[in-house]
Amino acid sequence: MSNESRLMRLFEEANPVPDEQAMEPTGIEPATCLATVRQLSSPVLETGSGPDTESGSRAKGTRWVAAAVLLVVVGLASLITARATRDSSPADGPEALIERFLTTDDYDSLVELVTADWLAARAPALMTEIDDEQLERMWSDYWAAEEIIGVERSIDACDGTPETTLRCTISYTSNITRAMGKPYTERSTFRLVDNKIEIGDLPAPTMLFLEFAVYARSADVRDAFDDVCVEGHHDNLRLPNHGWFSPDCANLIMENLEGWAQRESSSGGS
Amino acid sequence: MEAGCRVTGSSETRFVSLYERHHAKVAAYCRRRSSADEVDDLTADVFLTVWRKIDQVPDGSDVLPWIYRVAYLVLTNHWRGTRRKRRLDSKLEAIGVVPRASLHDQVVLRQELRDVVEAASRLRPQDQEILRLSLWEHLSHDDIGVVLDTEPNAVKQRLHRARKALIREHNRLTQKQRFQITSAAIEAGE
Repeated sequence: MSNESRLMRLFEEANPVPDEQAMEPTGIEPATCLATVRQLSSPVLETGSGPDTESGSRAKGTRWVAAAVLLVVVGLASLITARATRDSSPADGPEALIERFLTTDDYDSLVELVTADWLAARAPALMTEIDDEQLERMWSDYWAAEEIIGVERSIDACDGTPETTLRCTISYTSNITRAMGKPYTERSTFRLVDNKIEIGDLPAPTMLFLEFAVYARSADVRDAFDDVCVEGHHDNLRLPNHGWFSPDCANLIMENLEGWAQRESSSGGS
Repeated sequence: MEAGCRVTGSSETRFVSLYERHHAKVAAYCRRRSSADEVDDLTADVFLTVWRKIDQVPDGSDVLPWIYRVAYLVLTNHWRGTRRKRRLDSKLEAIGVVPRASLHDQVVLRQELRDVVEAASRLRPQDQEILRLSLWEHLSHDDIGVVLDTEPNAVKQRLHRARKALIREHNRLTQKQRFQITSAAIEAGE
C-alpha cells in the first residue's frame, strides 16, 4: 500500500462518526423540530390555539414586541424597504394588501399581531424583556440598513385562497444581489384575516448573507464583521447565525461588496 | 404528530420527510466538524435554514448535497464564533479559569490516527473540508461541487492538491517527531 493510500485510509479511519445511523435518535423528533423551526421562522403561524383576536386593546409596547419579533425571526428580511407609502387600497384585493405590507411602514394597520404572552409561551427563546425605546431604535436601525443596501421587494404572482393560505412569489433585489449577479425570488406564505396579515413570511437571501459571513471570515474585515454584524447587537433576541442587520453592518457589506463579488467571480462561488 | 404541530401543508410534509430522511447524515456532518455538545444546535440551525428555503430545496439526489451546502455555510459561520470563543478561553485559562474540554477533545486516538488528524488540521480549511467531504461523507466530485459551489473539475484538482498537502504535512510532522525523539535520546546519553 502506498504512503498516500495508507494516509487516506487513516484519515478515513479518524472519522469521528463512521456510522451515521449512530446519530439517531437524538431525542429531537421531526415534529418537535418542525414546531421549533416554525416558531423561529414565523411565530404567528398557527399552532393550535391561534392568535388573540382582541388586537384593539393591545398596548403599543406589546404590539412593538410582537411586530419586532415577527420581523426579526424571518432572518435578515424586513418588510419595509422605503418610507414612501404606495397608493393602494385593501379593496384592490389581497395582493394589493401584501404589496403594501412589503413596501410601506404602515404595518400597524396591516398586520394582525399576536400578544406578547402568546408569543412568549410558544417561543420563549426568541425574546426577553424589550422596552419600547429599544424596539424603536431597532426598527430605525433596520430601516436604515435596508435603505443602505437598497432593498426592494415586489410581488410577482400569488395563488391560493386568502382565507386560508396565499402563496406568493416575491422578488427581492438589492445592491448586493445586483453586484453578485444573484437575483433572488422566494415563495412566501401569507394568511389574511379581515384585511390584515396574520402570517407574514417574508423573503431575504439568507444563503447570500451566510456567504458574506464566510467571505468576511476569510478577509481582513473578519473582526469588524464580528463586531458590527454578529456581536454586541441586541443580545436579548436569539438569532441563530444572524446578527441584527444594523446600518453599520450594511455599510460594512457595501464597503466590501466589490471585493466580495470579485472573490466570488474568481473562485467560481466557492 | 404531537399536539401543537399541525401538519397542514405540502411544505410541512416535505420538511418532515427531509428531516426524517437526512437528519442523521446532517447531524453526523456537524458532529465531524464540531464538538458533541454543539451538534444539536448546529443541526437545528441547518434545518431552520432548510425550512426557510423549503421551496428552493432541489429534488432527487441533489437534495443531500444542497443540505450539506447549507450545513457548510452554517458551520463556517459557527467556526468564526468558535475561534473568538477560543481567544476568550485562552484569556480565561490565563487567569486560572480553565474551560472544560469537549468530549471529542478528550478522546484518545491511537498515535498514528492522532498524527494524521494533526497533519490534516494544519491544512487550509478548504483543503480539510474537501478531504472530509470525500473521505468521511463519501461524496462524489459532483456532489462536493454542490456543497462548495464549484465545478466538479475544480473539485478534482483541489482534492488532488489536498491529498498531496496532507502527505507533505504528515511527513513534516513525523520527521519533527523523529528528530525530537532522537534529540531526547542523545541528551539522555542513550
